[in-house]
Parts: sequence; structure tokens; C-alpha cells
Amino acid sequence: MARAAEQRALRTPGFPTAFGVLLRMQLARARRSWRQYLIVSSAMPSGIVILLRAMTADPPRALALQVIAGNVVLSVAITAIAMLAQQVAWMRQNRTFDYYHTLPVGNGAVILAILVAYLLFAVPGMAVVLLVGAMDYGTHVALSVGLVPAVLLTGVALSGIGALIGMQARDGELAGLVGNLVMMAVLFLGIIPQAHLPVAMRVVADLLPSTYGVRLLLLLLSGGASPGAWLIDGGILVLFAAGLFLLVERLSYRIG
Amino acid sequence: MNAYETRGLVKMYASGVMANDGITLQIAQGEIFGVLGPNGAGKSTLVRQMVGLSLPTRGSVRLMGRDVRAHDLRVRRTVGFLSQRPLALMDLRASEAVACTGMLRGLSRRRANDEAHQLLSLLGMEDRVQRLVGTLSGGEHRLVGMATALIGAPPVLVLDEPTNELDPVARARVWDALLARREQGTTIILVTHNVLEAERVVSRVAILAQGRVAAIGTPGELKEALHQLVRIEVAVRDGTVPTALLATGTATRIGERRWRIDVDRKRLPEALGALGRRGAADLDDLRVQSASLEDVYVAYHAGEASYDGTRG
Repeated sequence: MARAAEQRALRTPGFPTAFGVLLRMQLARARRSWRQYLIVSSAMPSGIVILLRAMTADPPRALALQVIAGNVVLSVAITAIAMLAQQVAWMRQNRTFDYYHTLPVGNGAVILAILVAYLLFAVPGMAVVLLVGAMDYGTHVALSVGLVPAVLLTGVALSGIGALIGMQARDGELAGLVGNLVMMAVLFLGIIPQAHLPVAMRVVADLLPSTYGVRLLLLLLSGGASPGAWLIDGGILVLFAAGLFLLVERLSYRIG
Repeated sequence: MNAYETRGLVKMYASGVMANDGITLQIAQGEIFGVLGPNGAGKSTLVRQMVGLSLPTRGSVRLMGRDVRAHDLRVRRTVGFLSQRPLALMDLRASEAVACTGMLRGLSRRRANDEAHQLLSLLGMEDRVQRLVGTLSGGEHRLVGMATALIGAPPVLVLDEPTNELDPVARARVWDALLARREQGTTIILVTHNVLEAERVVSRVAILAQGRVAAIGTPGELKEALHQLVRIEVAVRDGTVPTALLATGTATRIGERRWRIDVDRKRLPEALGALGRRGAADLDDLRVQSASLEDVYVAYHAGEASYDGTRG
């Protein structure tokens, strides 16, 4: 009888199937909240772009692109850090992870689906910021295929930070507070060119994946990133994304 | 081999609360095993450890002879779990929520969709399949959760309060679905407050109190162990009950014209005789019943009953 029961045990879906189903489940959140994601991820970065443009007469193209790239990354940070941190803390508090932890799918697929979903929620906001920036500064922004992996790596790394805050914070309120503080750091350290920052702030900037994301985006929007830039900035982003993903995945086993 | 076996299971939280205090259970394959107990008795903590969501402080949980801690994936492949609320599914349509769960249990998309519709229809949700789970009522959440536990026909089901917030018709559908699964050899562990209905379906029951097993056995064994009383509930039109009837047991007035008399089984003919002499025309209502599982539950909860722990 035991053997019969074991034979009836369910199959385990492969990683691509599990990830696809889980991503679809996460993206379903946009059915009710897409307006919220669009407004939150585009209003503040677009506002900052417009404000900075109004304060500078004839800004050089390099500065214009720095502002645009910084705010594109900020729009990712808003959903991927601030909103995701609260969401993960809420999921932890309400035992939402119980559902996933009792199905024959790895925690890695669950965590990756959540991170990618929150990155995708930021895409419309990013597009709005790019458009507003290009129009307001009247500058040409180069759109290339390279933007996709750059945004993907930056987004997964920032989502990793958001998820990490959500996993560790005592409750959703604290997660929201810490998430907002980190988002502010991304804002200032992303928009101000690193050479203009005090030394201490440069160290903080080096510890944030957004710095490398902004740098890579800046190069891509200017016309192209060299293989060296991809190797250094892209490589560091890969390390951040992979490291944070693995850390969050390990922590997710401790939930409950 | 047992489906589940717990030995000396202890769960103490960081706050110092002892939720489970040495629980030892054997649950045979193919049985419906009820876990009853008041709020805070440690029922949910017990089942969370059984499905691997929480680690025991001491003791062990074995599923099909294998330690749950060391075989996390095997537990996930073997057990369908119904938790208290399906919060992960709130933004999905009901059929989508169930089908996605089926695909995550290894079913093909087509089979998952078919099974999802069948299960939701079986549970009376056929006109709700396209509704977002978050817009459904509490009882309907329960039914969607139930369908997610059932899809893919896992050989073991662990269900935490499956009939909470359900109307009587929906409850009957859930019990029927569970009985059908038992016929297919599924082992079902059922945590419930709904003692009277659980009595209909469970093969054995454990009553938990203060984190310990207060009693375990079949409903019949527990009732027999409790007492030999038969309960007569009678409503008379003029409110007066024959003193001969009241004298046969312990009588309590429970309404303006309604009495409850707990009579020893040996004196039952005498009690019914006294009632018969009164005449049927004067009776408004009459119920005669032996102790129910609910009486047993209440007695253990109130500390009126004790159990030597040798049974089960």
C-alpha cells in the first residue's frame, strides 16, 4: 500500500514550467494594481527630470543623459525596492509563502518569479521616464537591444535588495521605511555623477547595484557600451543579481 | 506502514509558548483522521510540522516512513495542503488558481484546466470559475483552497478547517468529495472545529488540549469511554414533564417548554415508558440520542473526562 501511495506521488515540474506558471501568478497582481504601478513608478522620476531641467539652462548632453539614466533606474527602484520590500514582508507575515512551500517547486523558482514580476511592473514607468526625459531635454537617446539585459540585471539586483529587506524586516511598515531609505540613496547616488560626490558617499555608491546600472544605461543611451564596460559594470550587476537572489532564496527556507 | 507517524513531537516557540508537548500519533494509510481541539490547543502547529512548514523543537514526523525534515521535496510531492486562507491566489481567476496549482504539481496545462473545472463544479463553484478569487466570499475562498488541495489527486491530504465559513450545502459537498477520495485510498488528516460533521467522516480522532493528546480513538471508542448516557430532549405543550421521567436521570430545563434529561442506558426503557404514559398529543418535539463526538469534545475540553492513553 505504501508503494501504491508513493507511485501516486505527484511529478515535479521542470524549472522552466514552474517559473512560467509562477511568473504568470505573480503578474496577475497587475490586473488590479497596474494603474498604481504605472503612476508610482513614473510620477516621481518624471517629476524629478522636469524639475532638474527647469533648474538648469542649456544642460550638456552628458548631464541630461545622467539625469535620464538615473531616473530610469529610480523608477525600477520604486517598484523593485520600496514596493517589493513591503509586499514580501506582508507575504511573510500573512503566511502567503505557505502555499508555495507545500508545492513540489523549488524556492528558487518562486523567488525568481517574484523578482522578475516586480521588475516587469516597472517597465511602463521606465518607458514614460525615457520619453519625458528625451522630450524635456530635447536630446537624442539611443535605444538598443543592450538596454534589455542592462535593465533586466539592474532590476533583478534591485528586486533582490527589496526582497531581502522584506525577508528581514519585522513587519511591512518597517520594510516600507527601510525600502524608502534605500530608494532615496538610489535616487541621489544615481543622478549625481559619482565624481561630484564626497568620498564617503562614493563608497556607499560602490555598494549599490544601481550605480553600475546607471553607468551602463548612461553608456547605452549615449550610443553604446564597450565590451569593457559590459565586462565590468555588467559583470558586477550579474554578481549582485546572482548573490542577492541566492541570499533571498536561502532566507526563504527559514520562513515559518 | 503508516502514512504519518509523529513521535514525542515538541514545538516550543521563541516566545516560550509550548504549542505541542510530546505528541505521538500513528495515522494509517487510507484513513480519515480528525484532529480536534479548542483554539490554541496546538492543532495548526501540529499540521504545519506535518507538512514541513515548521520544524519540531524535538521529536520526529515521518511520512510514509521517511523523516519529513530530510525529505522536503517528497513531502511536497505527496501531500495536498489546505491552509487557512489562499492569499497567494487572490489576483487569479478561480479556475486559473486551481489549474496553476495543478501545473505546479506536474500536470499538463490541458489536464490541469480540465481537472480545475471538474473540481470547481464538484464543489458547486461552476458559476464562479471566471471570478477573481479576491472578489469571492470567505466561504468561496475555502472552496477554491479545497480544489487546490485536491487537484492532481495527492495521496495524502492535510486540511486545516476545510468547512469553515461554508453553508450547509457546500459543507456536504466537501464531505462527499473527501469520502470519495478516501474510497480511492487517499489518507486525509482533518483539523476541524465542526465536530458533529466530522463524526460523519472520520475513522479516528485525536483530541488535543494544551498541546497534548487528551484522547485518541474511533468516535465510538471515545464516546463509550466517556459515559453510558443517553440524552432525551423533549418539548411539551404545557411545559410540565412527568416527574417519573425527570427521576430517571439528570434533568435540565433548556427552554420555556423544553427539557433535556441525561439517562443511564439501563434506565432508558423506564424513561421512555414514563414519556409514553404522557401521551403523544402533548409532545411538541422529542429527540433521543447517545453521546455525540461533540459531547466527548466538550467533556475533554472541560476536564470532565480523562483518558489513560492506552487506546489507539
